Amino acid sequence: MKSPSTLGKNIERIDARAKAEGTAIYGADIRLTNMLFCKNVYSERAHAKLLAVHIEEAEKMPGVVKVVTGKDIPGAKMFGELFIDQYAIAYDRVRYFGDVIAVVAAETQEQANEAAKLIYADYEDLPVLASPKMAMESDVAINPDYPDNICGEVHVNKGDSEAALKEADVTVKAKYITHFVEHAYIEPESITAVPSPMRDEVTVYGSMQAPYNARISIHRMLNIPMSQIILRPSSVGGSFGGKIETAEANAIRVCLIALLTKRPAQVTLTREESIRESYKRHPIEFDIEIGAKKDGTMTALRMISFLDAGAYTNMSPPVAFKTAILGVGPYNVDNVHSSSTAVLTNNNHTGSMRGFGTPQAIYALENTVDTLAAKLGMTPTEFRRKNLLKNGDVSACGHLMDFHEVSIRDCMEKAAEAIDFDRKFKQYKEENKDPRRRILRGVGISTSMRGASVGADGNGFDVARVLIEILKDASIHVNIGLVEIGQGLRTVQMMMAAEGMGVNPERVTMGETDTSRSPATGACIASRGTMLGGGAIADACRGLKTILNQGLSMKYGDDIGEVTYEDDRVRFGEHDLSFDEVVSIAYGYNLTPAAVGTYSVPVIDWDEEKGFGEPFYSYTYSCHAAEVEVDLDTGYVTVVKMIGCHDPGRIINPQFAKGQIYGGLAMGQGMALIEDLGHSDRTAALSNLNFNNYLLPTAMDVPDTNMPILNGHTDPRSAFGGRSLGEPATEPAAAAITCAVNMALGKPGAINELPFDLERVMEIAQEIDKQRDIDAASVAAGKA
Amino acid sequence: MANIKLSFILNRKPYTVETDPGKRMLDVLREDLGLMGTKEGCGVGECGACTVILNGKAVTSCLVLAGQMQDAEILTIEGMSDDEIGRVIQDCFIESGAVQCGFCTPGFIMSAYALLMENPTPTRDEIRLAVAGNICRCTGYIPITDAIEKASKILAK
Repeated sequence: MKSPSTLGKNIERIDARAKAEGTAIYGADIRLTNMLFCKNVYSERAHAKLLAVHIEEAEKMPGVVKVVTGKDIPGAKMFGELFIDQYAIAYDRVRYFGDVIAVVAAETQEQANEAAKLIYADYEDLPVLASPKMAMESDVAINPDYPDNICGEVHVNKGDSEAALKEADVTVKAKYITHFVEHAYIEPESITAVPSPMRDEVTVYGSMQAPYNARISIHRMLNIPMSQIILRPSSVGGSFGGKIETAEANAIRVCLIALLTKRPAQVTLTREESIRESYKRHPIEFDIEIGAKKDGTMTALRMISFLDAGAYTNMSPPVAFKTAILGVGPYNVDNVHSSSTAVLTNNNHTGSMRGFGTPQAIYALENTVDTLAAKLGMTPTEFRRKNLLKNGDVSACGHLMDFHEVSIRDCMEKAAEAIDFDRKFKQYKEENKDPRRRILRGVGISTSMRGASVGADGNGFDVARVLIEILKDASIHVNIGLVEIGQGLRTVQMMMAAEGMGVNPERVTMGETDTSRSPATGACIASRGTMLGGGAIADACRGLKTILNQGLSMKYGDDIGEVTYEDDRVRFGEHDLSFDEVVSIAYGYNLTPAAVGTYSVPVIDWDEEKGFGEPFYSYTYSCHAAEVEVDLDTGYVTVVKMIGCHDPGRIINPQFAKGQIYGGLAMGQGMALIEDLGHSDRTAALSNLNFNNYLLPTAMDVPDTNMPILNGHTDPRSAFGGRSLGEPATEPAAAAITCAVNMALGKPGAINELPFDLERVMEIAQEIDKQRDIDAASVAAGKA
Repeated sequence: MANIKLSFILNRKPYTVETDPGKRMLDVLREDLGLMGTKEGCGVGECGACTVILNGKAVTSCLVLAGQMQDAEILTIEGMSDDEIGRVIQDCFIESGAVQCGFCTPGFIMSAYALLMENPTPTRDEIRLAVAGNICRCTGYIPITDAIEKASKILAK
């Protein structure tokens, strides 16, 4: 009988004790002898030629050791993960208010701060393009590589959506708009660079989600070999996709200072600096049209979206890929056209953020679906029951879904049941008609299918690697570069390594990510950590077993037959050895039980030209349901309860999975209702630079009754059966809440701009009141 | 400002430091005393990551001036591990999945400690209110409320 697996258990998070005791070291906690403190100086223009940066006064200030500008960068002047177009320190132009024009390094933070105030620049103003519309109409190119300011275009085509819309019995056309959203990791960015006294080498610590990408940029810009750039992320205080490019820019700056001064250098952003400089979630405008037959069969879907990329290309093209492709949802629809266009502006650049272009699209799609359902006289669940994908269907992008359990219908039923959707929908719809009722109630439901890992736009380069070594005491040490950013990945990797070797998890030790010890593995992005890391770990475990088996063959002869590793025991033929014995046999023959593991996502069949095929290797299915109350007199929306039902493949650690869902629901709630950076579409500035006016949901706002439901089905396309959950956990949340609010107001699709602030809800409420008066008057007139 | 001598009881031990009285308490803890468990997330008293206990009350140490530490009794996360109640709260945070990225965790634990000192048997709503000044972006709060509720039940026994 197969023994119970490590997987599926609530194994304690390996970093929890240090974090709960306050001893875990985050970027800003690092203190080193002789360390310099740095301060960034930001651009005072959103778009200008940078004529000169005056640093002379600052250089004379007490304690100042070094001031650098863009001219001090010895190598390439720009960096980027996929598209090289971002300044670490601007030198000829500034493209947004978050560009840094100089960095001061001093003996103390106060001295650096004081000196930074004396730095100023000469600018020649350029037109500020503060929205995609302005940028597309302008003949000014923000980046000369993109003369029309368009930096990415992706489309999907299936069937003939135009003809199908004409033939449809019922159609709905709508517009939806979303806003900038801040990641709001509670730890602001902090990076420390430590130069080696022995050679041109630098070690970098701090809050980094993608250390291998940073290594490439530091190498290109500072002209030192990649082998002599060592990145060791500290405990990362939240990231959500946010500690990539901004952290990298700061890493380049402090590495430059460390190498020039031969002293350790640290930069820690204030919250205002973090919000000013960091990239955001893309604001997107959607024009959407869907059509159906009278019986409710969805026949056509057109979604045209424009994404505000901000000042740098950053991740906009791959974000547009997910908006276009995953934005069409988990529906079985034959005629689809979806196109996403990313446009450069002088706003904060936009990039990776939990969901990566999909929470916006799902919000647009699901509200439109509700509008269509209402027009058809169907409830939201009735319409979805008829149209959601099932096993063997072809997805809206052309993917034949015959390779794993397509559980989206089941996810929806479980979420609907948990919130008692069908009963409440009926009941609240009736109750809300009562004109004396000032608090309206609503329920909303939304669905998504999330591509696991990068997808076809990364065809061929989506790879993860690991190095695992078994030591003489039979402990198993895992070096992996997929970073723990708070989600519990390090513990999940440990569990998978134990499973892969058939040993107790206590044997497995996890190294801190260190680029000089772990092979390059891509970034911990795209919810790829569990599936890709798992694939690499499984591969390394196979390699290790081959080496251990070689030792067994040397001792017991070539005909030992099949060897099984299970229960911390190794069994073959009549033999039943402890794992320790097998390891000492291997060492006894001078074997080296160390192995690298590699996993590449197979190349998938996606026709980019046509916009059709297999955009992802696998998918996670999700359904969120929300119940809300809307106060007609104040416009205030209270979220009463949310359900998050997900199928992320096999559940590796239920507690961590639930943790992702709880957090994802809360993040979606903030996005839908309150989070607002106060962006000016005139000046391109953000006015809400700290948490006193960028409001986040608190424990009092997030319903205590929120409920995660794990609906895991082991995925044959993943080594340990698990896929991804980080992003799916937040993806449909804003949609579910907005659908619920629009249902409460009795007007599906009525509020079509995020965030739903009080004023917008009030406006609709007043319209409802007016309509009620008219209705009442006509009833009275009728009676008279 | 000229440095002054500040004497206070920190984590049940007497301390005297010579520092700028205009400094923030957060900086005295982190920079002068090297106690890095108290975190800075916003600097304006909104996120609660720098929460410590000053004379029995949970305060955001980024808004407290060093001068106010004079003669005060102060507890920080570093004083929790060898405190009976603090230890139980830490254990419950770990067991309940209330720790993810962990950056907000010390602040939440201090708010929880202040609550349980004042009200050993809080309701869930009282717990939520007590930590409403702490922001967590990872956990969606429910595991934190679970942890504090669990701690209160263990301590009531």
